[in-house]
Amino acid sequence: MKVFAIALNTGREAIRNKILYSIMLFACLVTGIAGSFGSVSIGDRMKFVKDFSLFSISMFGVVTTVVLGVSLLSKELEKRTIYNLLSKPVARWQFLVGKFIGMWTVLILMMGLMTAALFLLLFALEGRFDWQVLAAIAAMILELGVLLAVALFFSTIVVTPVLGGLFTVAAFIAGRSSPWLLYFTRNDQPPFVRALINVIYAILPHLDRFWVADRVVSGHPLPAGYYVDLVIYGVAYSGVLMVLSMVIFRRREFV
Amino acid sequence: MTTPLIELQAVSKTFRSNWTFRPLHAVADLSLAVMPGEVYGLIGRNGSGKTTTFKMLVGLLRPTKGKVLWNGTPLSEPSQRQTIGFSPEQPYFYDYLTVFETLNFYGQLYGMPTRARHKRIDELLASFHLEPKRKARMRTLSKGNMQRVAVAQAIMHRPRLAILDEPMSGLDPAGRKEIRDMIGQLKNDETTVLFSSHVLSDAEAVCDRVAILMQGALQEVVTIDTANQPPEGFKIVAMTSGDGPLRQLQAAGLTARPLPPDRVEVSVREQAQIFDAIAALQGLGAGVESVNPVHQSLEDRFLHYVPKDGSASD
Repeated sequence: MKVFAIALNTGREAIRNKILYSIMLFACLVTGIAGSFGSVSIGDRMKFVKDFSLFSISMFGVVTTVVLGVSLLSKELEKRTIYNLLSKPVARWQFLVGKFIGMWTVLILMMGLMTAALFLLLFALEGRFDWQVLAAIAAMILELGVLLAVALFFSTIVVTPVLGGLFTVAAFIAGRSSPWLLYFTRNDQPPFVRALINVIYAILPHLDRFWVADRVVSGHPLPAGYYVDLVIYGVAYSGVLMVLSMVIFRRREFV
Repeated sequence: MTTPLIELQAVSKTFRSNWTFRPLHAVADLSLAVMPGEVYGLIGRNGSGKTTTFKMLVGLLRPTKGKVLWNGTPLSEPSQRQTIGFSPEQPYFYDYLTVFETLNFYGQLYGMPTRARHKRIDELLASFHLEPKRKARMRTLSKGNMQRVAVAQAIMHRPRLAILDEPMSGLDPAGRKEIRDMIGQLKNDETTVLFSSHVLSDAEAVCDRVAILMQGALQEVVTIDTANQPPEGFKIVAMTSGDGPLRQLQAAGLTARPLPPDRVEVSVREQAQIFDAIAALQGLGAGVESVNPVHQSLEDRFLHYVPKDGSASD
């Protein structure tokens, strides 16, 4: 119940925050513009519209996750609302899990609204719903969950939200481009470099796996098993990060 | 013997500067015991360790040394705070929540069932005159109303111990009286109250005992029950004419001072000295008007520990 109360409160605060609406309005506008750009694109118009819209939705989701994710803790500390909250019979893990669930729910709602806008656009242009797009959006939502756990983790170890944001963005870029790291594990590299790169590769979130929009748009959907693996990986990665965050946050004092 | 509801045993809290690691002793070897049903005050200047002590009691800080006991057992788990209510010094709330939502949220954190929560919110809004502000966003409230909400959320679940850090700050005289009355009501309901204040008269009015802190160390625990306290001395007032009797009393070794018009006041420390002083006054033809015990005020006691150069402040 306490986790639920914190989640609900986090969600309520985020939903009443005007920044969220600004980001969403902008995202819907960009999706709408994709529709008009489609008419002047070379090649398959609908492919361009879907590609551009899914990329926009993903990017707006990532920006929102980073901005709101790193402020989850810093805002509580800055406004000192955390003093009141943690003086109650609330365990530190309940606080973190509540914050995560609340913010992820908001992100899911936001993604849902942007998806609805995209579906309307696609229906207006194609006269039918492309349900495969939903698979790409579902993968994005999972990716945002992982990224939110990353943001929360950095929030527990750094002091300023700016630094937390920078680390999260760096983790996102590195995570989306992690397969490129494997290039350095070829046999012509010294063994310690290969070992180091392999460790870094294992630690980084493999966010590239969550980007399935290209396959969906080009008409080569992935098998259901891939999505099951994705869910397992996302839950496990976020879970480990949340546990680490809880261990760090448990020791924290509030002067 | 009754077990204290909350007890600090030789508790110290030392902070270290981020860069030089120089230690700052916020609380030093503090021991105090708050008995069930008592109203206990912590008074001290800014930086004397009151808020740090409260934060250690509610788990926001960990003691560097010493133990905090709740009902005789070490206070370490959040679940032990189920029957403790805390109102921080500066009440900060979520801006976008309404007064009702704020109280409801904290009620949920105490695990109160919905119906009991809503009933209690209605009671608190009525007793703190916050009913018209029920749907007002927290960011629109005045400092006084914010303070009222802070106290209301601390006693939302009818705690056994209410810890109120400066609950009267920012309140006008009527608001302060309201909080004083509320503390009295809590006492009647057998709730133990531990609170801090800068206003000594407030502490004197509501507390059973007051601990004076200076630079993180306990100086004295004062029992406020003046009726049952031995007096610090006695003052005898007598009617005289002219300066002659005064000089003669002083020459006889008594502490005397003129009290216009046409009176002298003689101070004695022991009860046995009263009769000698009265005899001396009567011998000089002075008519004794009154003999009163002298109790040192809390302010006198407090000021006794404040260095004259003001070096104890932060």
